[in-house]
Amino acid sequence: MKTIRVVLVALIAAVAFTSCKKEILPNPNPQTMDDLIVKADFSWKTTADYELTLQGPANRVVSVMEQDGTLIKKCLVVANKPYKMDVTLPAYASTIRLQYNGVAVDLALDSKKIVYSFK
Amino acid sequence: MKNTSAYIKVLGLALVSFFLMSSGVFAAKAAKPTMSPAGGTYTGPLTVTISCSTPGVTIRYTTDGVNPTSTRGTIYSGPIRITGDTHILAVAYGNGYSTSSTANYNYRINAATTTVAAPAFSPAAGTYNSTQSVTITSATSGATIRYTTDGSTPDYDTGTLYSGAITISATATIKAIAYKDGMNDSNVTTGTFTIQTIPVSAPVFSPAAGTYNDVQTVAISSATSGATIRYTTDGSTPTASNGTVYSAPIAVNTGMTIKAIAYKSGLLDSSVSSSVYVLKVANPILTPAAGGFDRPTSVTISTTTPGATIRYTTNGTEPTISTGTVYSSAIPVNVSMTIKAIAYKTNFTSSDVVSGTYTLGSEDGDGDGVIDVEDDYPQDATRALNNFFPSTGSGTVAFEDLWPSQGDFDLNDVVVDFSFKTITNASNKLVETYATFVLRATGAALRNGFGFQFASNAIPGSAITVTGMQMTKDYISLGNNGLENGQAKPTFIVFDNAFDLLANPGTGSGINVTIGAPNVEPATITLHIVYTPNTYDAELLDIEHFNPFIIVNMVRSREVHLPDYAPTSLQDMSMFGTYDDNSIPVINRYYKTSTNLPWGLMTLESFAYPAEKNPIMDGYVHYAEWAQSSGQKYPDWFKDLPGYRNNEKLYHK
Repeated sequence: MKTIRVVLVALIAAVAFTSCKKEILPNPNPQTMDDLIVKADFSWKTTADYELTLQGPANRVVSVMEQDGTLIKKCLVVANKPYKMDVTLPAYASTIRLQYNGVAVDLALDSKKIVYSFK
Repeated sequence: MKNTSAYIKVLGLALVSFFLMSSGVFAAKAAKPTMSPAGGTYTGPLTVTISCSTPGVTIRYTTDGVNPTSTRGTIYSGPIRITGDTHILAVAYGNGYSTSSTANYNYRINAATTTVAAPAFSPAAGTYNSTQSVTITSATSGATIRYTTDGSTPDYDTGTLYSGAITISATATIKAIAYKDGMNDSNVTTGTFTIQTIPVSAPVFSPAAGTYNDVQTVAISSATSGATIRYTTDGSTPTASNGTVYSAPIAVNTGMTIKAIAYKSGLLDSSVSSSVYVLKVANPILTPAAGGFDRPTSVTISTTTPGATIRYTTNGTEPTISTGTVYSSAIPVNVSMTIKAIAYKTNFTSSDVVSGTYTLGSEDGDGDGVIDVEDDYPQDATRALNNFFPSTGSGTVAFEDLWPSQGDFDLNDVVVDFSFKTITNASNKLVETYATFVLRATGAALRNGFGFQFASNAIPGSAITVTGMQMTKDYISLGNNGLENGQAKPTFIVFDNAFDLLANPGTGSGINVTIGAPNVEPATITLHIVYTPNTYDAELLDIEHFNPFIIVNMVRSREVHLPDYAPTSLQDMSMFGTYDDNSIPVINRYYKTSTNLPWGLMTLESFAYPAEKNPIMDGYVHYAEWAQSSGQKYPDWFKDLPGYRNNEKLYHK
């Protein structure tokens, strides 16, 4: 019984210490690169990856464009068959434009996986 | 015997004489000193010199009336200056001579009634931008001048005797006096020569000069604290006394050139900076984009410049600001047509004319399954569609090359723009890729190579051939298909020595990294990558995750990659964890320092890299916030937006 109590106390203490772990805060006024406080898992990427799943009623080309209309990719979508493609955009991009048979749609990049079916 | 006695007498006399001579009893006497001028009555001050015709003797003198001796009195060393009645007694002695008779000169000095003209400096004391050669003169003919530059006051005895122009290369105060017999000493002339050699930092404009699609508010600053800035907008050159004193950002509502100068007391005026702003209406955007359609559509036209008017034509003529239809609503496209549009606004340069051809139809000339109006290669059944990475334009990869040691973070040791154009067929299978690289700069002393690796081996090397590499050395081993040998994934070496592509201009450090040094035309290399036909799905390429790297100083086992990008099979793995590197391969952590800093950067647009020795965070205002927030803040930190850049820290021609 005594052993169980000791183990419990130790576990509680461990949990308490873990929850008190200090978060490393950014340096508010870094003067040099060595002053930067960067998380170990930061990738330093200026890009963001998205997976698109596109579908349409006819065999037509889908153009994938940046929000200003600059072309990135094209693919032939077979009627009623989903087509998956990966797109990498600047991390700051907020929308993507798809064009299919004369119809252009702007989609918000609010998810890493975007599914869209053309009518 | 008589003779012997005589000899002894002569010898005795000789010895006694010798003894007396050597003891000085019978030494020759030095000549009596003489003084010049002779004693008498003069107007003072008066300079008296004492001399003696006997060579090598010492002269002592007194002015207190007591006779000098060989042990008493002042040893004469140079002219004596007297300003009142003075009685000088002097003797000469030594050098085998006995002490002379005493010279006795009596001078009566009447007070001078005139004064020597004070020294004058040429150039006059003041502030100068370069080393000055200062001459000192007195209007009194024959006056002697002494001066000091250490703050002490010169007089007849102290200070440097002026003999020629004085070189003043740093700020100094000259004090000078002039004197002459018979006249009172001049006043001391004091002059401070301030030599300015450090200029005020030249004004910097934000945003930088350029073409903008909307009105701008331009701030001007100087890195020199406390400097005043004046500017003009009428084309004239501002000076420290001409132009408007800058106090608040300038509204640029029309195209204009701003010229500015910064100045501050104690420093040289800055150079004049000039910044040309062109306000141009953003080009019209046609939506949907021009292309082929198998049914009628409608096209909207817009511009990002607020308040602009758009005119368009559909008959092939060029619209102008006075011809064409003013756009007000979507244009119906019921037949194939070309829409041309222009946008304009008062005080702005008009946009370019944008043209878009809309083709209606369903023909498929090459029979590949993609109708001609959508087919980028309507007459080629093996090709159908163009794909770009990044979107039409170029991205940039930039590296430091001191790995595994930490560099200076200017990220310009190798700077390469990249763009991939991949062509697929009607089945979305890979046909070929044109990979274009533009070597823009090499700030390194090392001879570095550059290459990239596919993200996976989903497309095996045996299915690929590549041509177009720029190889000038022999440390790279390529297979017959152009890929590098010994690699687990397809690996392409674009060039093996940057120095063989960009010639050093002869000045500045590195190539295209030193502001003001001659700019060298970047080198463009295009690789043509061909895949086994109709075999590999477009998505297997995954070019968005291509793995660029540099090869340091032609040592094939020493690569530098972007952070957390794996090395190739030829990297010396024992280098990880050495010096400043904190890679941990077992968890796929690569090319980061112990404080998680990188050796490389990639952007999807052409990156304005830092000038030599300027850490990236000095050139980009929000870089630190971006990094410390793990990319959450300012994901667009590298764009040319107001307040985003310190342009003087970034390389420009």
